[in-house]
Amino acid sequence: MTARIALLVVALGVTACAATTDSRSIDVSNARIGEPAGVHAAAYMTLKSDADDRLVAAATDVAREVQLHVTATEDDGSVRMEPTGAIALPAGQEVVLEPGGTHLMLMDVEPLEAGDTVTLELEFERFGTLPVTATVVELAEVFE
Amino acid sequence: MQPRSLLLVLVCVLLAACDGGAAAADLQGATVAEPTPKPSFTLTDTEGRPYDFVAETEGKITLLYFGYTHCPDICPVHLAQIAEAFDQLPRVAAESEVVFVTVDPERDTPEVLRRFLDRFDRRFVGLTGTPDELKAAQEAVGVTPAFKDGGGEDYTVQHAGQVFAWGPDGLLYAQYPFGTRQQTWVNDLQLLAKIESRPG
Repeated sequence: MTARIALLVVALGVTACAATTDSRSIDVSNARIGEPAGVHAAAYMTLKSDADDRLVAAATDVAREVQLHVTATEDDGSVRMEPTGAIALPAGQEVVLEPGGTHLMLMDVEPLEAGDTVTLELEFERFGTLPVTATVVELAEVFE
Repeated sequence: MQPRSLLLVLVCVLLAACDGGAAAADLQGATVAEPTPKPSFTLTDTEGRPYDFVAETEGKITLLYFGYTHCPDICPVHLAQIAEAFDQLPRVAAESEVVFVTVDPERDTPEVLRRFLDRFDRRFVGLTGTPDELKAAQEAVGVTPAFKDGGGEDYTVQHAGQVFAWGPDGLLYAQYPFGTRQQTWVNDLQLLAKIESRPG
């Protein structure tokens, strides 16, 4: 039994090592949230994964739910916003989440002010979970 | 009036007109081929009073937008940019009217609308109405009427994404699609202010 436990410990150790020495990386930059004016807010950022991956979900303590959304502009000037199942991250390519495009929608968000920071838990299909710190910015500066 | 004085008046009027025309030509927004008059509609403001769009905005730079307060990505950014431009141009702001018409009257009660708009500028006017009145107002402006997208409590609304801008003379000069930058608002609001209002 002792030997079996030792073997189990070794096996677990190897697994943990495999995870920590994984060379995978996902760079997240310019993560920001527009200061909420209504009940929802939107988060934007630039993502770059070193391998093909997909952002499949996100969560935060400051909102009831986080949905992946896409805003699209129609030919007649109408804008449509709808949930999307996942955001593809082709290896090595920058994927920009920006106003009027793909974004994370923070539903029923708590009051936030410019300068606050918020932790967003991003869940990737292959990479797993990655916590990201986003800064709350004034809405007029959300393009920056 | 002496013929000479009359001539002077005429020259002044022409110069003013030319100045307005030149100002309009330099607008960075999506200008219209032929400036058109304001559409006529009456809705209800956040105090519950009737708001006749043409009468209430007469002689003012008028910015009109159809949106809703549950929209986090487009609507608040337009409003924040205009509010920021007004902070930089207080005299222009005093001669302007910003009108936000909800396309989500179900969730945007007058109180919700007022609270939302006050986050940007307490002078911004919020309007609502019955679904038929709101549809008629959008048709009068020439946009595709908004409609609910999706079900449940988290539905979204597909709606016109551009802000419409009329000069003090009551003519539509430009539209501002989403993505308009802050500097464009500052530039264009100053130009719109140079357009002479029509003598009553």
